[in-house]
Amino acid sequence: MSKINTNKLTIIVGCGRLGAELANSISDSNGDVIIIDYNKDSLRRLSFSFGGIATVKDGTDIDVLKEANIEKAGTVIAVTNDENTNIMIALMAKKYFNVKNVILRVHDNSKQPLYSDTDIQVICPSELTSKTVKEMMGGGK
Amino acid sequence: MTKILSNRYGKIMILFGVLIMVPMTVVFFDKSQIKYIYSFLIPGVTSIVLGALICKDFKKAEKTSFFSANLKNSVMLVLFSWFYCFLLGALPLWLGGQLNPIQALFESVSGYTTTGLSVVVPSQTPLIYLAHQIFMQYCGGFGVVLMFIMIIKDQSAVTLYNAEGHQDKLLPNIQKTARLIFITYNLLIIIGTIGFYILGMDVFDALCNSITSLFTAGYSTKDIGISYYNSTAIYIFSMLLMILGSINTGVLLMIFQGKFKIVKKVTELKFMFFLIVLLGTISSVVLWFSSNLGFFKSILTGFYNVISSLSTTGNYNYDIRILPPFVLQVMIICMLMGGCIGSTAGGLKLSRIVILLKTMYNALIMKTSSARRVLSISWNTASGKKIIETETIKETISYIGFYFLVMLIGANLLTITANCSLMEGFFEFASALSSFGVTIGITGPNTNALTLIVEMIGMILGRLEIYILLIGGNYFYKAVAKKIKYKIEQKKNI
Repeated sequence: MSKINTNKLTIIVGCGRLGAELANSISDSNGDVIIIDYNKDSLRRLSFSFGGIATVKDGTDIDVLKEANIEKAGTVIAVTNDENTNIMIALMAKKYFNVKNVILRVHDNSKQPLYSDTDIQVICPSELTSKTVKEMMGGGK
Repeated sequence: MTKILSNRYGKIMILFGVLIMVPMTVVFFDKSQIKYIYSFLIPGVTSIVLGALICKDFKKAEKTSFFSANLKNSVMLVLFSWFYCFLLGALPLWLGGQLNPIQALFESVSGYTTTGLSVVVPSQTPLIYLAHQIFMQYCGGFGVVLMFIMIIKDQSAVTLYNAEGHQDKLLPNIQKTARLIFITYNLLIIIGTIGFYILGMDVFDALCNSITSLFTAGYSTKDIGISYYNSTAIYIFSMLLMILGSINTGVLLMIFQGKFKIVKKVTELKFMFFLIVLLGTISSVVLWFSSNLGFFKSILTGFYNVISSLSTTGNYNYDIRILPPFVLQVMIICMLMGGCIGSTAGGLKLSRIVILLKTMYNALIMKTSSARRVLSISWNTASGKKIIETETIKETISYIGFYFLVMLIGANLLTITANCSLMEGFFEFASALSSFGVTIGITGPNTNALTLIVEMIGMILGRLEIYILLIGGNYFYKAVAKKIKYKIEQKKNI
């Protein structure tokens, strides 16, 4: 496993497959991690050995983010299953709380103008996949 | 699979080997104790060497482990570390010629479970063994596995932490949580020591009393416990420490941070103070009318008894049989209820009682209202308002059922082994099960071995929260049954 910078607190909003996987690996490498999801059932994806805090609350609520100490967080990762929620959380973390490292997952990059003027790091699975597939097609020739 | 896990067992053995030798530092203050030092060196060094050998043997296996997050293995590890502690803690007392093996084991179990029932007479025991007893309670108060998590980085720390019965995660990192708990209680111990010192104890006694009050343990360096000092100020200060010790660690931290608004709302805490005021007043009034203690003294004794038994401390040792039976009953009820969950107190824990009472109330309401009515139970914790789920309610009520079953069986066994009345049996076994540790006169230097064994089982069940022992026993039974089955089949094939 590659080394993750875990000196500072990481806040993950959305405990889906990606969120849970990230939370587990950060916790295993002894980092501080708080994961927020408003659906209690999705927290079952966390492993037995998850050592961070899991809260069942609304991640778009400023009070919830403040309670999670977002001002001191080194990284905020927005990976809920809803596009707009992700963008909103990322923008709040960046513009309102000035978090250094904000990572945003979107499936559809058409809302790019919303965050193109910030230094939010965007990850777009479909774009990445299509790029890889194209490479594979090119490499096959 | 056993090979993969053995590394952690080795680490635990090394850690406890070091811990068992800590009381040897007494020698620096009192040179005369040096003749007893061998009884600590032998078990300590043996344990370290054995642990190191195991660690060395299985170092490679550990790196490829995939099973470390497994609940079953964690339960086994927690059970192993506690039982290893019990055995190791008994050795110095036995090797030093202080007690026979059963008595030594009893003393060690009583120490690590923070009970405080004792078969030694403090005034006839060398200082180093008193220090050993107090240090056992210090380790047991934190929980021996917490010590392990704090020092050694381990992937399955959380499972271990939960398996030992700790529930709150105070910080987003389990090791930091463990360290925070450690620092908090050590600070409180220092404050307590200074307090007792100012109130007139010498330094060693102040430290010991501070530890035993805060960890709601109950060993004492004096034959008659805290009543030796006979000072109102010391009584009151020790009450304060006991209350702090029976408050949930998360809430305790909030008090330090000054978040009184949240603390005021916590259901369990409100319930605890309600109980203290109610039962304290009742027993004071009963004492006042039925004895010649006088008004002020009966209030002090009444409240001290209630707080001491609710926090399951029990750090006094005068003849409690002179108390009216009603007060003794109040004490039994108090110690069975215990302190807040996630504190150092024993007993059923007040959160379970709150759930039980609320469920009972709801059941009554449901009898008299429409069948379509839906009621849910909620309470306030340090992290906000929470609705209690049906699963939790079921688990809680079955736990309470188990607890009382154990209580009944144990009390009745004691009436046979110790040949006492049912009331005395109840008091004594409740005292062991809830880790209270005041004896009604059954436990002492002359108690027979069978009684000690019954009480020992009670103490272990009470501290480790029955379920984990049942789970561990189940795994153990399955493993043994599998092996026997396998051997029988092998024989058939031949």
